[in-house]
Parts: sequence; C-alpha cells; structure tokens
Amino acid sequence: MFKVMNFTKTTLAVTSVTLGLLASGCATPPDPSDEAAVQAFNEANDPLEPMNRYFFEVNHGLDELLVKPFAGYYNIALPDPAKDGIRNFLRNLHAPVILANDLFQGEGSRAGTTASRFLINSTLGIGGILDAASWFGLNYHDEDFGQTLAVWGSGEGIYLHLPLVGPSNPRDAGGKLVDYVLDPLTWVGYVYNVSWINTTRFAVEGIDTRARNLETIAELQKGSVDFYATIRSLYRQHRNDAIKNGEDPEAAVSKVTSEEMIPEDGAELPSVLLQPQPSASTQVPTGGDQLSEAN
Amino acid sequence: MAAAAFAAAVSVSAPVAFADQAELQSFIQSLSQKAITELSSASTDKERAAKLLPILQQYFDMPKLAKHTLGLYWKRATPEEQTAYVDIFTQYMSAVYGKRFAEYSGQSLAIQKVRENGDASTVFTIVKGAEGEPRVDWDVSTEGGNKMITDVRVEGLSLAETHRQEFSSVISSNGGKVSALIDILKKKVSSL
Repeated sequence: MFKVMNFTKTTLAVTSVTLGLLASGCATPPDPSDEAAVQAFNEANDPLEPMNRYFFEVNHGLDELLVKPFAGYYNIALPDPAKDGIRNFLRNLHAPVILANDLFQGEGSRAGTTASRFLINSTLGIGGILDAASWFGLNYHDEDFGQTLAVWGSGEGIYLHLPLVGPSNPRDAGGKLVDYVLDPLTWVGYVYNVSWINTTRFAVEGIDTRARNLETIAELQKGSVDFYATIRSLYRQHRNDAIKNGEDPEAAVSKVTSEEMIPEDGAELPSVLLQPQPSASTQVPTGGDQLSEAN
Repeated sequence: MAAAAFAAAVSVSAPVAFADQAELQSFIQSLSQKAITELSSASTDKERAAKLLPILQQYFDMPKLAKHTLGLYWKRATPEEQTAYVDIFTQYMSAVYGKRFAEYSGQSLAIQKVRENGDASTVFTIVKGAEGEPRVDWDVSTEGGNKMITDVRVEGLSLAETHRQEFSSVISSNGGKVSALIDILKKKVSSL
C-alpha cells in the first residue's frame, strides 16, 4: 500500500512539473514569411524544444556528476574481456524482447538468429557471459518495439528529450514501455519481489554503454557548435538506420528511381553491383563517430 | 587457343562500369592511405588539422558540402559570406576530424561494394579492427570526370545532414544570421 501511495505521489509530482514545463516549454514558431526559418522549424519537429533543452541540461548534469565518473572507473577497473562478458550477459537477457520484435516485424530469419543465439549463449556461453553464437556466425542484432511500430507504419512524432532516458519521441518512448511489459524479467521482478534486478540492469547497461562511448561523445561534444541539435539529428538518423536494420539507406529509393530512369532505348541502367573484396583493404582511422555497435 | 579467344572476347565486352568501379575503389583507398600517412606523422591537433585541410580539398567537394550544410540559408548569405563560410567550414572540418586521427591504431578500410548511379556513386566500406566493424558509406560525385566526395555516412549517420541540422539550429537561434554561424565556427576552430 505504501508503495502504491509513494508511486502515486511521485507520478503526481512528475506530472505537475512536466505540465509546468510544458506550459512554458513550447517553442515559438518562426515568422511564416521566413522560408528558411520555417523549414528549419518544421524539420527539427521539436515544438517542445525549450523543455527538451532543459532536460538535456539536467541529463548532462547527471551525466557529468554520476554516469561519466562511474563509466570512467568501470573502464579503468575492468579489463576488456570482463566488460565484454557483462555486455554479452545483458544482451542475452534482452533476447526474449528482441525475439518478440523480430517476430512482430515478420523477420523470420532474424528471429531464428535471436532464438538460436539465446539457446547457444545461455548454455555453451555459460549463462550468456560468452557470445558463443557469434563463433558460428550468428551475430547480435538489436530490435525494439519502437522499431516495430515504425515497421508497422507509425511515424516518430515530435522530438522528445526525456529525463534519464535521453533523446526519444512518442513512438520510441511508447515502444520502451511495451518492451518493458514484454520482458519476462520485468514479471520475475514483480512476482518474486526482486525488482532491484531490473534497476541494476538498467544502471549497468547505462554505465557500460557510456563507458564504451566516453571518447566518442567527448570528441563529438568538443567539436559541436550546438550539441543539443547534434544529438537530435544523430538520434533520428540512428533510429532510421536501426529501423532499416542498417541496410543501404538509398537502396529502396534508387530502386524506384532507377525504374523511372530507364531510358527509352534501355541503353544504360544504374547498376547495383555486389563485389565483396576482402583483399581490398587499406588503412584508415577508426570511425570515431560511431554511436552504436549493432542495430 | 580457345581460352585466349574467350579472354579477348570477355575483355572487349567487359562493361565500362567495371573500370569505373575499380577507379572508385582506388579513389577511396588512396584517400585513406594518404590521410593515414600524412596524419599519423603529426603530433598535435593543430598539425593534424593543417595536414587534413589540403586532403579534404583534394578529395571532398568542400564548396558543395558547405552549401549543403547551410540549406536554405545559403541563398540568404551574401557572396562574401558564402566565400567566408566555405573557408571556415573547411577549416572546421579539418580541425574536428583531424583530431580523430590521434586515436588511430591500425584500423583498416575494407571495401564491400560499389554502387553506381549516373554521376552519383556510393562506395560501401567497413572499418576492420574498430569495435563492431562500423559501416562507412562514401558518396562520390563523378560529375565532369572529377571524383569528389559529397557525403560520408558512418552507421547511417550522415556527415552532411548532421552538420546541416546542427548549423540550421545555430542560425535559427541567432536571428537567422549566417554571419553569426561564421563567427561561432571561427571561435570553435580557434578553440580546438
């Protein structure tokens, strides 16, 4: 009972703060005659920008105070194999949710990969600590209900920068809730009164991801002239890439255009040529601006 | 004899596209080789930026990229502002991306495929030796026989788009003035 009351109180407090911010947090639309400004405003699709920027600052403060230092210790304290073990374990815990979303999206072969990975890694991989499945070419991929909604045709909606969660939108935030409900561990936590496992998982995931991106994010921030806008842009592009499972962003487009572009005499067609060339490799620096490992 | 005739027939009938493909591949490879040899010898960020600048100008269509990152604001800028912007944008790119070579530790670029589509081709690569082997796609314009990179996408994150959206946010919050962005970029470049 106590718990429920506490929960209600917190919800009320959060709601009132949010409503207060919403009231003062709306962005002022630009002068309709200013074409460039109107286009920038529409494209940003961020009518709550002042509120979002507020939470961006709050999250940034929390990051500087808590997450970043922890991630730093985590990096120093743990050797790479240990960190990989932790990530493998966390990813394996996610498998049921990923599998559900693979199936929701009608991705049969990806669902097969996820299911096989779960079986192999839970056994041969000692409860998920080793990514044994990748030895057989069954590589990890992520999937979530936000992506499922997108595949089903839902738009992303306005941009949101949420407390603790970070960049999001109504589609992805709703998706997270569904994933939470879909996750067997959520129910284990509730039924056996061990919800600390989910809190711990959330925290460790946050620290692990942050630790892996310490330098990337620091460089990104140092080089950016509007870090909030950079993150907003990168988040959207990253989600769109994830929705397409990292497939060539223009393949679908050029397929359509190439059909329209076929000259009357059929002389020349734009060609998509697959040429795997493992030998053709030269030296290049690491793509430091990589934000994610897999989609 | 038959084999020789067959080989001759194949080499005659080989589509022009394959020659272009090889050229596109070696174009991207020469860029990465050049960047690594030049930048790995540099010891400071300033030095790296100075060495990257001419490479960017040689391989990237910097005026086009700069124009793209201003979006509709390009037309609003005066010709002087446009020139100043292309210049500071090139310096900004050199400073921001030159720094990244400081962490270079022997990663290599492997070409996966090449897609040609008229004047606009894309070379798909992955970075071997980097965590997760990220995908890097290079858009190359072959307009007028000159090869010039017009965009780079790392794991689907476009360089041109990200900077365009970042810059348009800066311009909008500075009363729609391109000159404000130029000033901010100048400050940024000198601070990097």
